[in-house]
Amino acid sequence: MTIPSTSPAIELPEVIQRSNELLAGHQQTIWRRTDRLFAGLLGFEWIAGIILALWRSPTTWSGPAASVHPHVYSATILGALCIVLPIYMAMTRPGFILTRHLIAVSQMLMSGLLIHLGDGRIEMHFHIFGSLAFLAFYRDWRVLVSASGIVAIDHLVRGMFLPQSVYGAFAASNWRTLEHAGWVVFENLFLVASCVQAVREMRGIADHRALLEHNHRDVGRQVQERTQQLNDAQASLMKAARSAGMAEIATSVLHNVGNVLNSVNVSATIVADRLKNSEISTLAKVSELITQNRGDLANYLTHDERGRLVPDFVTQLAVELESEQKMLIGEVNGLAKGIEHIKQIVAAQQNMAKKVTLRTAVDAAELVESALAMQGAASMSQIEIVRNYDKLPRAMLDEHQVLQILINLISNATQAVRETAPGKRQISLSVCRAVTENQTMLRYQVCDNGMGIAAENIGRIFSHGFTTKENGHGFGLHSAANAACEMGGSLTVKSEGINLGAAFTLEVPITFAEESVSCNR
Amino acid sequence: MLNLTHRKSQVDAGNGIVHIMGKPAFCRIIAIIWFMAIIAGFAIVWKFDVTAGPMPHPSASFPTNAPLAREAGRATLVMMLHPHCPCSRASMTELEKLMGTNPLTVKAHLVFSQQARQPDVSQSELWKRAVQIPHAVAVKDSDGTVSSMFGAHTSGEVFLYDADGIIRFAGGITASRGHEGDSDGRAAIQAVLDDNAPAMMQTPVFGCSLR
Repeated sequence: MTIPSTSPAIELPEVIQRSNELLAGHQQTIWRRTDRLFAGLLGFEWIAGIILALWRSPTTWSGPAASVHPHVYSATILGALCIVLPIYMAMTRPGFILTRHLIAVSQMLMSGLLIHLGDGRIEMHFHIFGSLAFLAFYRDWRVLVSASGIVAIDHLVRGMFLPQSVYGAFAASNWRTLEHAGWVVFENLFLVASCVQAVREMRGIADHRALLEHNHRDVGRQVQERTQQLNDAQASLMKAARSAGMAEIATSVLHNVGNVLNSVNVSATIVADRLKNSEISTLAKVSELITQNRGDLANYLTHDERGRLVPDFVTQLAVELESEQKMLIGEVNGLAKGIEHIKQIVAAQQNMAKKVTLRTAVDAAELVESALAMQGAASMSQIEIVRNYDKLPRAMLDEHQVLQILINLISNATQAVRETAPGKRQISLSVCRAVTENQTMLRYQVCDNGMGIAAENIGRIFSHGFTTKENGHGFGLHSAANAACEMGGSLTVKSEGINLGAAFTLEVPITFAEESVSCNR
Repeated sequence: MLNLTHRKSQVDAGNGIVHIMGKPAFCRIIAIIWFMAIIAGFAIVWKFDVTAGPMPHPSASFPTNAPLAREAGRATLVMMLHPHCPCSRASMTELEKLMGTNPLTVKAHLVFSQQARQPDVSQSELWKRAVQIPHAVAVKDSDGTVSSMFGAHTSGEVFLYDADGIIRFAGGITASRGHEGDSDGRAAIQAVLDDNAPAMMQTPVFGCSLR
């Protein structure tokens, strides 16, 4: 049964060519296999013929004298001659077209020989019809033509010269010839039809397989194309993500730097104001007075009403200038720290791309104080700071990451308590050690009694873009939470609700240099 | 049909020599030679198959001194046999067919020639078959006198005498040496038994020599 193929691809030249190759290959396999099968069969028939001759007619007699019967010679020599060339071709050139035609001719010749050795018995004639059926194994109807041709030639030739050997009569009727031929044609009709049908089915299989190969290649090509498209899309997404990440990083830098810039700006303003209103200008006036009365300075300083005030004024001025200097030095130091922190922020964000974490030994309490100092005195005015620092040894952690988080938390706390009545604003800062699941953590807490967080916002407080501030960007807490996670820690929040304050807890894993008092959860 | 060549042969137009360029052409020539040799071999076989023994010269009537009994009203068939002749198997088979077809009209005598320094004829395959044939008698011819009475020379030779003892057929009942099947001899005997005029009275005999 032919396998139907309705795909238009079956008409493609490459599919047709491949189908032809597959069909040819399949046919070659069949021909080679059948050649070798017949090589064995012919050999077997030769041996069988010899045994038959030795069994049925080993000797011929002339009175009492016996001699080897000619049947033995014909079985041995003629039989060998009949099979030698076909067997040679089957072993050396299997699948060759000449090989199978020689085999067909030889098989029919062996039929004749065996019939001769078998006394022409009717049963031996079955060998002819059986041989034709075996030759159909080739699925090549032309082979049947060769075999039938030998039978026809045999009947024609012997019919002309030795009719009694074919039909048992010296004058045979033409109808007898047709009767013999008719039986051969009868069998060949079905065998030829079978061969043609078999080849048709093989063609269908070849077409089907060629089409499958073509479709498989096509699918393979499409898969490659889609994979490439996916890879390209992934690259684009990564690029976009990278850009988004870079934007986030840039935003983080801007936000964190912005936080520090506030205190830097305040410090710079204070220094500028202080320098502008410095008492040094008063010193200039005193110097002018002294210069004006240089000629009679002693008398001026002792007897002049104004002159007598100069020494005490200078002394007081010195104290004021010293105090001013101390304050300016403090503000400049704060300024330097802020600038250094900005530098570290930028460096930290740059290192983020390289995934480099810098851990240094820091004093955990000093870190809080540094973050507090970054807020600036002005923003911390009228806020009570409650400190609860455990005595802890220096801890190995990413100083600037933690500092940045604390700056964010303290900045938020100062903004949160702005709505609280002055005198009642309070921010509590604590540092202690905690042990969770066999890991040592450093726990910072920033608690305020400010505006608190509504219950419905607690779950979103760390989300990117979420803010309750009028001018907020929703980035600080998100960035702080990410930073905590990157360090292997966590940032959590608790709030009883609106106007009930909030408590942010930062935990980061650390290693201590020494043992210390630890707090319980 | 035999698409053998992938290379072409060239013909030298000058002297008509065909140059064999490739093996396929050589294979074809070998195949033709092979086939011719086989034809020659079969020709030899067929020649032997149709080589008959000497023609019999029977007497015109049943020999009166023959130690074979005739039955009144029935034809008498006498077949001469060499006990070991392989070709006579076919003759025996044809005789079986005749006797099976004509059980009441003919009586057969199968005369076996006892050969010197050979086992007794009763031990041979042909004798054992002969004694199985209905209305047939196996007879031992110890010294060849019976075959001489009938003028027989070849195993498988058949003599048919009608109910009056007149010779009606002499010859073989196989078409060729050792081959069963239809033959002019069997057809002639059947015609005599059917009271039809026979096509011929004598046919070639294919078998071993009795003497």
